[in-house]
Amino acid sequence: MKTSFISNYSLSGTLRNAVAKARDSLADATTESTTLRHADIGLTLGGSTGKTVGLRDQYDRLNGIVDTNGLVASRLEVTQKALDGMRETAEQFLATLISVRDGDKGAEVLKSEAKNNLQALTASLNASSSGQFLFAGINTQQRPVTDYFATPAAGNKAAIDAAFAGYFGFAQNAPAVANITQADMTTFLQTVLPAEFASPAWNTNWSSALDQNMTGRISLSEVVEVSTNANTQTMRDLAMAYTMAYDLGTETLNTNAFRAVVDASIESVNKAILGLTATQAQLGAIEERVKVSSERLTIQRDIVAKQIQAFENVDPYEANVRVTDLTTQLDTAYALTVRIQQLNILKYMS
Amino acid sequence: MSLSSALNVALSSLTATSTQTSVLSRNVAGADDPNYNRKAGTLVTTYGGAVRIASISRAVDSVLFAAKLGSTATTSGQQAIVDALDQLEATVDDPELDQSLAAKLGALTNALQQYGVTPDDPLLAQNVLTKATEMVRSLNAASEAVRTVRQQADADMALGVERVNGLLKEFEVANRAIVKGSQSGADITDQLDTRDRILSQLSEEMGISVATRPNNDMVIYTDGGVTLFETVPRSVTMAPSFALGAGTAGNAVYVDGVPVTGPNAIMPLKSGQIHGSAIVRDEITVTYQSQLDEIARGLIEVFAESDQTGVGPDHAGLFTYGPPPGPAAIPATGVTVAGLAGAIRINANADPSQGGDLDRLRDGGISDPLDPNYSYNASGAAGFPDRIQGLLTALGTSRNFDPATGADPTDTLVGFAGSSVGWLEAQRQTSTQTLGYETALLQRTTAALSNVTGVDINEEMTLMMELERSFNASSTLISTIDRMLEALLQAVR
Repeated sequence: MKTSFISNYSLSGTLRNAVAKARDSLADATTESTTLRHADIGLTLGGSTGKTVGLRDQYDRLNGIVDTNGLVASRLEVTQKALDGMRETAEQFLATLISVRDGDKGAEVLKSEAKNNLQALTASLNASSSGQFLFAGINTQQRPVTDYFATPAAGNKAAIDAAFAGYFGFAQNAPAVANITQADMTTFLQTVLPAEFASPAWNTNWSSALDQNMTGRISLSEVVEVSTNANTQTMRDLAMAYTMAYDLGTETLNTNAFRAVVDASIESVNKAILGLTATQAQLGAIEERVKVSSERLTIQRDIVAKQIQAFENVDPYEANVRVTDLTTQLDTAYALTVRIQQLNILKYMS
Repeated sequence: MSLSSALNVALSSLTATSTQTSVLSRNVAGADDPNYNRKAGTLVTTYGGAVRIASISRAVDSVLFAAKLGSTATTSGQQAIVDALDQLEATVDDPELDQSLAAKLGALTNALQQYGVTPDDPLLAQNVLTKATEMVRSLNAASEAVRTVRQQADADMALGVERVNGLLKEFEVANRAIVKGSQSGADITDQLDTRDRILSQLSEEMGISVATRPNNDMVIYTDGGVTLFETVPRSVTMAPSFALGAGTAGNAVYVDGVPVTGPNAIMPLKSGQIHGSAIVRDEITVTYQSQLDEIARGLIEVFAESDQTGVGPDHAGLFTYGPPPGPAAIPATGVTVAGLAGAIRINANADPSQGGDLDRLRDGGISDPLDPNYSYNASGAAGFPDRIQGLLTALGTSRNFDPATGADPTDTLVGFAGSSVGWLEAQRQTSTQTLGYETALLQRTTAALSNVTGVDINEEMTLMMELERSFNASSTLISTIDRMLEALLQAVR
């Protein structure tokens, strides 16, 4: 008598399971159509989730380097500006020196310009950018160059005075300065004075900067020097040129000795100008590298962003269609449930 | 006397019909019970054409029932695995939220990058320390999460064992009643229902197979082949583990003295909640923990400080472990150190809130501030960038990890952390898909079994109408025979 039939339990169970499944999917589909990303990235991507995590890390890393490159570039720019100023001053000073040698200008002019320039050089070398002294090498928290004109007299001034007095036997403002011979002065300028601007005297009296320059990581693998420092030969030459023009009793020297000072100063300034140009060129090249690196990193970052989207995003059209489909499906399932519950023989029995 | 025999037959029909009606109302009552099997009265014709209900039969399909038992066991085992993996996934979360260890490591790297450009800025140093602290906290928390999941799995196994023992005791009562009833020929259909229900519940905990012996006596075996019940229950035991630290193995489940879980199982379980939890406790969490431990070891290795004079051994720097005083040694490369992820901490020597000095992040000497050989910054300059750049290079360098962890054994630290995420999500995806498939199968099997053994009220009602007619007819017969007899008696008077 038995025919195949469907039990009440399995009938209601089937409906219940279908509805539960559709509701689960609808929750996911709604999330996806609003966020436009997979509802559960890990579940959808499985093993590839490691890749999107890696890509996101790469994205942040590239972004971080682009940010710090901005800082490095602005520092390089400030350094370049300072070097520009130094070079212009040095070139003007060279012109003055030449005109003084030719007798067009007097020693007083030279001396006052030398003083101004030395002050300006000190100020430039002590320039800072966001709390860092740019010419201090890695010793960024210490003002690198000692002020020659400080009162009481700073170490560098005292050392020059001592060297002068030690060699000639009197101070720069003594009347006897007028008696210094050209030969004596030349010897002094060639042997005694340069020692004051060479290590270790320079490092004790003039500069607390360190020879090691600041470095910066401008891409994932490139670490470059991104500064120059006050200890380079160029800066020493420049300081020496200004100092000798200012503080060797310039105004009292006789013509021949004065000529020796001017010649020596011209030589130093010339060297310094060449050195400054070379340094600027070198820093310019680094600026260019930073710029190129930033551009490259930005392109890379955008590509990575696209890859992340390719992994994590859903097709918005598909997500919307799924929501619509599932809503219809649920509607049908509910309607069916009501209908099937009504299909009961009890209603027809009397 | 054919009239009185007709009366007898009509009467027997009435009795049979009412018995069938009672069976029918039992069916209606059990219509919504998933463990109720449809009953039917078996009619036999006896001497003189009378009918009686010889026995109550019960709709069964042993093949589908065995399939349902198997499917239930597989599904509940898989469910345990998926639940545990979902809990572990909290250590990763949506990649967009940057909560994974790989993302925290990336944040630390970026903080170092900024610090590397401005090494004299204490705010940036503080930022590095903050990110490093967060990294350590995440590692500790992840390690704790793994331990919790493991402990939970162990507790679930213990609960499962307890439930199995309880069910087996219940089974013994039902089975004994069935054997006794079979011998005496009583109606045992309800006890059979009870026994099937117990089997269904038992299969949630462990995979089982059954064999029926004479008098409906049943023997239960685990799916690995160990006897679970024969006349009396066999003992199922597991000593719970109270502290399941990393690297500690959990206790095995024994059935009848035979280990059925763990590496020493001779006849291992293949499905059921206990099996799933055992997989979680002994495999998944152990592997994931070893990955976390390797990330912690990688961190210690990357941030290690070396003797600048080249004499002493490397010491653990910013990230260290073990008791606070004295520098910690660097663990051997490529070998998991169990529990390191839970033990890793920030070295107090770099943390101002613990009496340390932030500048050591830049200069080195975190391992032992009193030993100048471990300081990288000989000049003491505030802008010293070499140590930080060295750390960034080390973070970007490929290194070796324990191949037993299942994640990429040769990668950068952040790459390894990423591949650990990949491993976890791959496990989760596979398990969830398997669970979906198994659940569908279980639903189909349950529906199929229910269609064979369940109750359809419509059919029962139709049957009831038949019975009503038959009862009416028999009653009419009796009154007719009564009238005939009366007519006969009238004639005799």
